[in-house]
Amino acid sequence: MFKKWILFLINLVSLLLISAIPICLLFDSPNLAGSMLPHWKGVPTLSEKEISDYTEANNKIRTFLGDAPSLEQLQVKFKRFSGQQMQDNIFLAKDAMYENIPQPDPQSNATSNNANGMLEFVYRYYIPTYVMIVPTACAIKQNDVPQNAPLFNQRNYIDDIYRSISGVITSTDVYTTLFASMDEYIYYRTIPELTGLGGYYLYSVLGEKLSLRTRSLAQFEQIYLNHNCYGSLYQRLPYPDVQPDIYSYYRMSLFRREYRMTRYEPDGYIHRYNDIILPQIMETSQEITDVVLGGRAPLITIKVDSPYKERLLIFSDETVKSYIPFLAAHYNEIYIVDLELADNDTLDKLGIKHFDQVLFSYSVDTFFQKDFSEKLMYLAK
Amino acid sequence: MRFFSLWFLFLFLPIGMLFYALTPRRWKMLSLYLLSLLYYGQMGLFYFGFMMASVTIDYFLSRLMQIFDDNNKYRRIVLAAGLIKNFGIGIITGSGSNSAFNIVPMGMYVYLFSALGYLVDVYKGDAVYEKNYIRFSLYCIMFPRIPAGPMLEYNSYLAQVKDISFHLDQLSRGFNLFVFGFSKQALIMEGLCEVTEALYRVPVGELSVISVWIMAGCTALSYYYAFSSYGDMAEGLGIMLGFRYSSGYDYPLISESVSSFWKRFNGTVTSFIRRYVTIQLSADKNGFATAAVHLIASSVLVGMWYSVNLNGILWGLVLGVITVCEELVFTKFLQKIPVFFRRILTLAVLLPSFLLFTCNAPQFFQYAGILVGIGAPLTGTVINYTISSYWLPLAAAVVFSVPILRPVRRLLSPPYANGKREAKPLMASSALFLRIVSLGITGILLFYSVVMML
Repeated sequence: MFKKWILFLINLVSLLLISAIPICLLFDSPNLAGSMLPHWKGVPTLSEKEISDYTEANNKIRTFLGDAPSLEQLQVKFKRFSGQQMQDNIFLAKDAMYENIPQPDPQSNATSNNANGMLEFVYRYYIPTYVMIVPTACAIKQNDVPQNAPLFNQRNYIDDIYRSISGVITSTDVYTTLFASMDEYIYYRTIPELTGLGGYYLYSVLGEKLSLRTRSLAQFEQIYLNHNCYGSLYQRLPYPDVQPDIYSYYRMSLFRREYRMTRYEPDGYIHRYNDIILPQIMETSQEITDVVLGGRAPLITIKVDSPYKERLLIFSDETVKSYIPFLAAHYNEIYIVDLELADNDTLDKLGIKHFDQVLFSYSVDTFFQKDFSEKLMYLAK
Repeated sequence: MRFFSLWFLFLFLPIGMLFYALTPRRWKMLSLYLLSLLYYGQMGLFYFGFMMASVTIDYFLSRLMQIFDDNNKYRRIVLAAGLIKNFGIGIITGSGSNSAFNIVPMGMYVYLFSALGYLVDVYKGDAVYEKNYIRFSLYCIMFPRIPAGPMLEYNSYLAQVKDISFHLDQLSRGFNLFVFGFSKQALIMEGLCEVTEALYRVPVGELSVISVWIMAGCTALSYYYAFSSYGDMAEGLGIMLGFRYSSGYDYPLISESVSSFWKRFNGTVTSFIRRYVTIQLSADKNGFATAAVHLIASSVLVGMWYSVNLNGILWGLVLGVITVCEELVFTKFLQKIPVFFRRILTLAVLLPSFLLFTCNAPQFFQYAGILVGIGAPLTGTVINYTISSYWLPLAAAVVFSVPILRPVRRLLSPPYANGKREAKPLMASSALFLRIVSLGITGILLFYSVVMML
């Protein structure tokens, strides 16, 4: 009789095993209301109250259990153990994540169109123009990406662009400088952007080209905002071994500068601020780096209370956020145009002839993925 | 609702099994029928209606055959109607974008050919006329077999369904095997497909001879794991429900010949097709030409079972011709070759043949050229990264494709007799320990698989 009961219990455990996994799934709640439910495909939609009760109950369990690893994290870890050091197009290094930049599509003419657009722009205005193509983390941190990984040669790509515009536009080679500092914290570990320090290196190279009196890093005060932040790469792929990022920004400490920033939003609204750093938006912004300039906008104008008189026009993507806190101190006025977001009405506001210098600053992936030549041609008309 | 969906695993399976377990024995067939309807019902009303209509027509054809029992001419006409109806639907719906459906309805070939086999059996007098509509329908649409087989002869089904039983012991054994199949899908097949796709993306000019052989190997393993995981899950579910049928997969990549490959690779389908389509035809009775034609015809039909397009037909045709050479031309010569070399030789034929399934003609000829060393170096480093990125699923795929781990599978689902516990008392000696170990392995596999399938 006893033996039969033992046998029955073993079978019962086997049955319970089926139902044990859903309970594990319920513990999986990194952003419970938002991200856990889609895994459970087909479950009827829950009401807000049900989700809130559910979240509360789970948080209690999680607190009780301590830091239970989520199943998503386990999946990433299992896959990495099985050899997949690149998942969802992200390289998983020992303690960092770097987005892989694939080879440009051979059918795409974005690179040549963009280069031609810049040339047309220069031929139209004859303003001293500079270009800075910024390599991404996977090129600079190539020692951290898996051996034999088929990396796109960003060095050659940048050199080819610079060659195609040489003699007309002044190129700024930041690759060498960044590569020499590859062991420093110049790229975020969970955000596909340069850190403040990386931005300083860009500024130091750019400053020489723009004939500025570049300041040493010691003349800038480093202000820490968050010691434990996880950026968009981590949201895409919760890699448990990654170290959190430390977010800080730089502010000139030797000579204080006053900034008046105006953001022309895509929806037509205009927002004005008394600074280019907006810590108040940290909680609501998509990426913590949006604290600088408030993130992307079609047009951002910065008036600087400084002894300088020069005006600078920047066409850029996210890369501008890394070096603008350093560069802004050297100008009287800076316009930052995001050609991806800007429409013709915005471009009409620029009054390009009044600028002393023009800078095109893009990361490698933006330059070959986005074709903004039409807008440059519009400006060149 | 596929077997590896969380819906099936965590809702349909436990609730369905509970419902089935609590149903009195005399109603078990009905409860299984209802579960099968419920399982198929989630495909959508149109597909459900189509399946029900097809099965009902086949049922009435068999009843019609009974009515004309003493008139062989009419019986032949009824059989012809069944053949035309089932083959016609199979070819029309399965032959690409011109078909009436956007996708081939899940399990269509299973219920069409099950009914077809039954009609042939009834015509030949090998099976009794089935009056019970539910029993006949259940044979065609039993949910464990619906996604990808295996095929089951009616008489074998009938013997089991009449003595249908349910034991917790069976449930445990079947569940272990189900999880084994599920983990083959989740842990091996998914990674294998990713690496195979990555290899196909490598430009032809950068491939070496070895890399194309690896590509062919990965393709063959992908197909094997894709189908055999379903076979294991179907067999496991069958055991849980009190049925016993083979998955039809028995380490096909170590076959000694292509003929043996047909028996090991979805063997139930091959034997089903040979039984009902190329029946009673052999070299001895009909001479070389007839035997060759029927061997090739059955191979082509098996190819079409997987894919009703040129790829499936060519694959079947090529392997059919090789089967003819093996069975009718070089039989004596091949028998003199040691088994190990015969296996290598068979693998050298089988692996490239799987490229036929995936590639169009120009691609295939490019890869075939590289396979024999035309215009490509022997080795290269291009695919090293891809291989190293998937070393674990690749290694597991190779290890589990040969029977060196057969004891593990036996541990997960040890053989038993007639749905009853084995003669040896479970508590005796190490049996209990083995059961606990198998439970542990099942638990780990299930957890690992669910995590990977999220």
